[in-house]
Amino acid sequence: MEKTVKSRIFWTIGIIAAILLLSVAALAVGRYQIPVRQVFAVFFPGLSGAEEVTGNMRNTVLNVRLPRILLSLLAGAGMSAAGAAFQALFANPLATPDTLGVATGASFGAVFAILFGLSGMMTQLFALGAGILAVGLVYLVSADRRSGRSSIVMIVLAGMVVSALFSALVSLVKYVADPQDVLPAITFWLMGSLSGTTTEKLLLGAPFILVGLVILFLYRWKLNVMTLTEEEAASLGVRVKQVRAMVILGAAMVTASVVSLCGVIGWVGLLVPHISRMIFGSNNQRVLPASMGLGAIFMLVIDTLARCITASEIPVSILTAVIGAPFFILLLRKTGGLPS
Amino acid sequence: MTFEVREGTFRYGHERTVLQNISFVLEGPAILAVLGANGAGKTTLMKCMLGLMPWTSGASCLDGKNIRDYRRREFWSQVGYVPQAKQSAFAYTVEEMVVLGRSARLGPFAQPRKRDWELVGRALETVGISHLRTRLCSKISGGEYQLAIIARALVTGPKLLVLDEPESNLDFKNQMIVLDVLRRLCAENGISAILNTHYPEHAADIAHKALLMMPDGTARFGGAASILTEENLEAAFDVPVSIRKVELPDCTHTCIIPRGTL
Repeated sequence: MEKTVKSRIFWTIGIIAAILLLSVAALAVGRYQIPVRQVFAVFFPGLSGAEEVTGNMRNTVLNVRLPRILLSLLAGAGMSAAGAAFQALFANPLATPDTLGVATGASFGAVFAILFGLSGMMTQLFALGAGILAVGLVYLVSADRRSGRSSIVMIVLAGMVVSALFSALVSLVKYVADPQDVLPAITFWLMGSLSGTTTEKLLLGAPFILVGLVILFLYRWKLNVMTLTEEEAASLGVRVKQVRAMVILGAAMVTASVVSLCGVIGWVGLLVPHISRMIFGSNNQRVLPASMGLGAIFMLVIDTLARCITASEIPVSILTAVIGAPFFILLLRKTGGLPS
Repeated sequence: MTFEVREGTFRYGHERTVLQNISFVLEGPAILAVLGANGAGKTTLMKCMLGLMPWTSGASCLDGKNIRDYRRREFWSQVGYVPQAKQSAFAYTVEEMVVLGRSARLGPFAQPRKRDWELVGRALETVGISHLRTRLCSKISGGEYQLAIIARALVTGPKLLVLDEPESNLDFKNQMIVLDVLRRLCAENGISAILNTHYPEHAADIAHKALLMMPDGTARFGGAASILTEENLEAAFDVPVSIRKVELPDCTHTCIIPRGTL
């Protein structure tokens, strides 16, 4: 017990410190380099007196990079936590935040809005609405009239059906979209990007992500019970249906909102929870917070690379896979997939 | 502790009656063995009597009160259910698995605290697997895992344990260990047990009462010795049975032998 408490404190402080340090670094780097001292001067103008801060620097740090960095932290933490929660809830290590079709639904909402040339704000709202609609459909399809017989299998199957439906609708939109300008916009959006993040967009989406994260965090220990069979969980005095509904709601809020803000970001929701399990064991009391922290770091690094390594932006889904896959394989070979 | 089933009946739809007018009373501390052929509805009986599946008619009562009138967590703090041991998709350590038993005592958002972990230690001691505390459930033997699941049921501090075939899939020695734990819990800690079993000899060995499920969905209930007779077992399992007492150095063992005439 002593050892676990110490290592928990060590990791918590370590992850928070890493997030802060990397965030400062990410604020400084980019096509327009800003020295770290100037970055500090932007935030604490009184302290560093002598530093010269131009309006351009202030604008880049506060209005361009800060919202984008905050979004990458939230998106990484959100998708990882949602993935970890679904893997526990469905007792399936292969579950992802899109297992119930939330991300596909949100994608459809977004590409639909792009097709009709709606504003960025409307695109976000359409994505959020369609994502929530997708979970609603899953619930309607899987809800059983006779009491007590709706199973996790029904929910997952309903999720597959809803996901397939929205996926077909996305294809339909791409098919009818103008290949000159609309189709490239849709394709780029579907690959995920955090470029063009503004404070306004962030303020609209972040509350959903934060509330969803809080819900998932509160249920972190109960998630362990949910990996048992439904009857076993019920016999431990747990309100299985209620916990399940709340976890799905929390994960759906996070996923729909992240997708509405920056498109579909693949891999994170699968990769980060497994990395967390290899380091911390299967106990979701630790896997969930660890997924949030490691997911935030992972996404921040990926997005900073996405905007720095080439002159034009690289879609983040490509980078999450290209960088994530080898790293994951390395860890897998080292640990054999089991907690150390 | 008194656990009672009153005229419990269970049907699938309108077609098949699985359980018909089953009644029994268990006055604790005591052990009740439930016996019956495959498909006689032993597992269904467990689920119905615990409210995990609804009775078509009839009721289960704990200490004279219908179990439907209990608050969920109140009921599951007094009754521990031990399902047939199945490995989870995720590799928990033994202590992480056992502490899940505290769920019934903790609120929806609560996390296990120091006191809960202490109780985990005590439960592991009771079933004799303290040394496995930090091992992964996937890396211990079937018998040890079954004991861990029993510890999980004990950690909530129940008056009654309900076990679904706790000793199937175990070897001779592990079967004895599991049965011994149940006997000790009853004698020393006053915790009653209801267990499904495929082994009439185990029932004769540790049970005070027996419930024998018949092919027509009814059941015969009474003291273990009066129920486990050649005639009753022949009727229940549709196979000739001989019962012999064997004198062993320290006890008299009841041998229940099915005679193959097929």
